[in-house]
Amino acid sequence: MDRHARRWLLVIAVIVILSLGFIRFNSHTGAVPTVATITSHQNVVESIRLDQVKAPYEITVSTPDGGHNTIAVRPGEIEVIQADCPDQTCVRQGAIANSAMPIVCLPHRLVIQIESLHENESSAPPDAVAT
Amino acid sequence: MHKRRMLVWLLLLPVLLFGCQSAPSDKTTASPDAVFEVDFQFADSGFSAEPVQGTAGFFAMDTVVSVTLYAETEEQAHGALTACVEEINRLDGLLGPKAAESDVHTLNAEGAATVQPDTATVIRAGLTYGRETNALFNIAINPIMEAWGFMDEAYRVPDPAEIDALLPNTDLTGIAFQEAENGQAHIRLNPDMSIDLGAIAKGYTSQRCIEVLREKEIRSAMISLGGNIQVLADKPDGNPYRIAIQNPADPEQYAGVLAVTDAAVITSGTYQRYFVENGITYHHIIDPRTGYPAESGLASVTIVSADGTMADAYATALFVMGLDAATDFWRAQAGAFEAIFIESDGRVTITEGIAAHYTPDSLAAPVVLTEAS
Repeated sequence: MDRHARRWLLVIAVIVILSLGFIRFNSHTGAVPTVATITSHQNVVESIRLDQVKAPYEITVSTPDGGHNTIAVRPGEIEVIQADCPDQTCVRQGAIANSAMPIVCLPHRLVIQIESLHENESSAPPDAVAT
Repeated sequence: MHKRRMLVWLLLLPVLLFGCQSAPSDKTTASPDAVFEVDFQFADSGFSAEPVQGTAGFFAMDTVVSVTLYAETEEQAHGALTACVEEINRLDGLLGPKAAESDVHTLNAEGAATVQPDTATVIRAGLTYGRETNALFNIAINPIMEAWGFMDEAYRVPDPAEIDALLPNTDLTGIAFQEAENGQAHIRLNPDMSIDLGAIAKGYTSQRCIEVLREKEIRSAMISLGGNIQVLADKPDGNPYRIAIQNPADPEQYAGVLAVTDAAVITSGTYQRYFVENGITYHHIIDPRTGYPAESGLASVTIVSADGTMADAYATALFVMGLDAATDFWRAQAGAFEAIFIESDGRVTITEGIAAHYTPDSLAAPVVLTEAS
């Protein structure tokens, strides 16, 4: 390989690496498309595109036997801020922004699960989380 | 519409199965307020070999359960999922401490009981793991767990004198185990003793579910019992399942991701259950030697094994041991299981059998433990 070809190869390699880095950078800092799904007693109450939330708001989900969870929805994250369940585990967990740990209110059979709408396999989320 | 029909069918299931049978098998029905509220979903898996992906999500064993499997037809997927859901509910009804008709409840209330084959198997396994670990895995720790309020979320810090008084009631030799007919067993507890199978029941249940799915000729599946994971084979495209390991310091982050085939992946961590009193955090993994939350320098232990029951029990025991003793234990067991240890300062140590299948994420690359010291 002559020097000329090697130089070109180097230039191409640098461009490829930079653009890969850019894609990765973008996918990590730009608004990652995420969907939060709130289910109560196995029924989907609401699916929210968290990346498209502009201003914070609140939702209250009632259980069939009169309990409730108040949920704060903010750009990129979601949180149970108040509930009348006995253990308060859902409230203490705080805000979540990814699929690592869904919010579960066992007494109220409420689950908030976040899913990322990834496009390629390399950044695909794992199949499950050991917790 | 489809989903609704199945829900009705499941509600009817206990009636269909047990409605006209006589007494003995009543024990195996799940408690009435329990599950049978199952969300079944079927989708195109995108795989040519097993084109249908079926999932079942529901609450059981005091947690969220999900079963994902791949099948050739929706009918096969539905049959296998239903069998799996029934098995989980059946075992929950036997092994759970709360269901009034459970073996464990009866044993604790009466001090003696003849238990069903599954309960006998789990207690036998629990006693074996107890002997192997010098009672660091202890199914009789229940009185201490109750004193701390971990069994009913009425958290409190017990008096040292109270703990000292309870410790003698956690001696595993106070459990008399006698085999009986048809796989049953007669169990007798010393006075003031009680058992809890919470640190082993989920592992046994996921193991049983995998066996049920195999009988249904399912070739690929994944079960999560509140984050206790067990997978059957690979995904239909031949790739292993990718299981994230939580970062104990920030459960929103993954420490790393582990690729596994035909294995249970079960973690014991301080972050799973704890309470704070006067600024001190008390977590739920009790050191049976002291009666206090284990301070072993570890924040989590993940066990990877083809045997879910073992993985569940060892996750607890090795957490209590701490890294050095756990390392010796792993070397002595030669290949029975693999492990990932995360220390309180974030250092990760992994055993060599799975090191090549682990990709670090939010925590640094792990130290690899080899079999030779």
